[in-house]
Amino acid sequence: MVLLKLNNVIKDYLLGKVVVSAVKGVSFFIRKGDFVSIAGPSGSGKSTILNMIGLIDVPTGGSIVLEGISLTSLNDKELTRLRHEMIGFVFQSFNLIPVLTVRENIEFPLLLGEKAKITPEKREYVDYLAKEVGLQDHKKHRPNELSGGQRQRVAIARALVTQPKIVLADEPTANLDSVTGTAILDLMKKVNSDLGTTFIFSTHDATIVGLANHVLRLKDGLIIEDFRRGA
Amino acid sequence: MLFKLALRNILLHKNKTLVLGLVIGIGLFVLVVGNSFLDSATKGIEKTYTGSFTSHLAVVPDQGADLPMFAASPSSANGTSVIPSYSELDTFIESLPDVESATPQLDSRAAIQFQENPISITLIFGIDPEKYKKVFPDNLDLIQGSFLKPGQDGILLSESALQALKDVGAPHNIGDQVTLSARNDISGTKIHSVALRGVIRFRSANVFLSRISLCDAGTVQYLTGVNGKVSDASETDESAAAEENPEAAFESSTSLIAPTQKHGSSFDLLNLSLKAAPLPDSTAPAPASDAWTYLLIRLKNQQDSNQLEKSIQEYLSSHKIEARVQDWLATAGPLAQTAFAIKTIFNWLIVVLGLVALLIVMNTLAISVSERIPEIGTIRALGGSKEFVRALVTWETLLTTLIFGLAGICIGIAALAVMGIVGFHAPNEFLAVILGGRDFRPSLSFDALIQSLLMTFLVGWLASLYPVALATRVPPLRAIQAE
Repeated sequence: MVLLKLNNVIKDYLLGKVVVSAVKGVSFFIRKGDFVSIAGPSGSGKSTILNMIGLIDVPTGGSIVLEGISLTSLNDKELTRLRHEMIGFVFQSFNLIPVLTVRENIEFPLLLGEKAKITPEKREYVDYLAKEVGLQDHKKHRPNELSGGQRQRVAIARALVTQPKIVLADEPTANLDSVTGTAILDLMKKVNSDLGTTFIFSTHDATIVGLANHVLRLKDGLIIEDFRRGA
Repeated sequence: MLFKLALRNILLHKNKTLVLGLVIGIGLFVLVVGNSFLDSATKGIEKTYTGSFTSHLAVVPDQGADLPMFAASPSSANGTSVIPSYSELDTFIESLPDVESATPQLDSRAAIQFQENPISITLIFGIDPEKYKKVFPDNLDLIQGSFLKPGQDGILLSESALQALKDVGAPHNIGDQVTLSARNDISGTKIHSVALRGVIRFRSANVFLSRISLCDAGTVQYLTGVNGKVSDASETDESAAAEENPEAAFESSTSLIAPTQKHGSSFDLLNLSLKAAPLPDSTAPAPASDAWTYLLIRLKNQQDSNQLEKSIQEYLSSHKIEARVQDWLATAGPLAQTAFAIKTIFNWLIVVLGLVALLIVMNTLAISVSERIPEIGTIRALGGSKEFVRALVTWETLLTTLIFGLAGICIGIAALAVMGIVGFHAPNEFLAVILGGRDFRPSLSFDALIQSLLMTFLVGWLASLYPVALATRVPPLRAIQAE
């Protein structure tokens, strides 16, 4: 089942008076439950594509369709709502709220939607996620009391708390050592298998690419390879 | 969670919060203490004047401007120094249900003389004793003698005036004659002797007000040259004639105030030597019943002042009476108005300081927002709406303002309580006049408190506008670009 479809997507930036083309017309689709790696060197456009899929940036041209909804015609309010309901983010620098505890950081997205209410069921789910990412004993800690790996685990739990269709991870292991990075990827893979959540992450690490079942390789804003393992 | 997040963010940025807090706290401390101080002073002044001298409202001759009681002689060259149609007006005022009582009055600056030499200048109020006590039942203490009786002539000297008499060995016992001289634009200089009936001390008065003496109306009417009618050209002519021939003026004046010649000594004088003759009995120069400069009105409820002022003014206009009604402050004049002027200046100063504080708070918050762009971007990326971001920054601003603002207000209240107990002694007469007395004990003004609370919210809200605008403009993409 196709979850996401990009058709001839272009993204131009204005750098002073110069137009810079970050993405030069890419087309691909992603199925529900895919574990997707967008790989490529720096400046290839992988983060730009990830941002457009995550609804935090808009394409200059082309179209993006998410679960049958065309994203190009949505206004900021609608994009915000859709982002909250369908997308989870795992940032390279974790981007946790420094003044909130682990538990509060995980449940934070639940307070952002239109029906911002934490029910007992949601609270249980927060506890479940904290346990899943191995932080059940650190729920009252602040981010500055955690290691890099622990922080990224919190970020993963936070990305999953709204039960999104897609989790986007922009170089999630870039700031982690190799052991912790591998553990984080294992965790993502486990969630992907257990919950069926679609993961799309950008990376230029060949080891990580090896875990993905759908690999998109980019160079200079164009897709140079799009293959599915086992397809 | 929003409240918790806002509070923790405030605590996280301690230095900025402290800078903001100090600006807000000190500002509101000054506002509460300053306004309470001035409110206490103005209330004290109002109580002093309305309770002892001006009452709540006054009808005065219409000379195109307010007529202060303590500023200068009410007489003027154009002769409109008395209230026209006084009797008719008095009947109307007394009939008003909101009026508790009313009393007529006129005043004159007069020199107390002894053996041709002026001893001191004193302000003398010519009163109707009976009506005066109804309007001002407990405004003074009688140190010696007795209060004036209806129809009785005589003077109730202030303590300071009596002391001046004593100092030069002039007669100063009750029943002794006191010689007064006054000059006015209408009838030149007048001299008159009256019996000393008593010595008074106003219970609530500053150094200037405590020098006021009370006198029978006939004497003051004589001294001021009013005769119960609006002064006309013929009286002015008499006055002019008096300058050429003082004796003729003397005859003229005695014809106006006949009993004076009979029982006391009255002179129109420019260069004549003073010959104060004793008064054989207590009969006053017959007061002209409608020759008054002020009709002082005590209200049952001072809050009705504006409404009643309007009603009386309408009556005056509809009956074409050339008089005007003025409030106590206009009657009290510049001296009392000083404190109010200072209060106005203080309030403007507060507005300026408020704007400065607003700019500091706004600027600090704007810097704080710009330093938190990745965090705000993250909130937006996670699905936080602009409204959520707006609420967060507004909460942070309001919390900072409220916490430190309330702290400033509380410290201000505590300081006022201490000042209320310890008291503040005015080091000079000027300050004593401004503060409404020598010993000043300020108390918390609820108006100032309300004003301060409103100011807290206003500064908080206004200060949040620009940072909120900055924060809501942060796109979710900034969460990633900050990496």
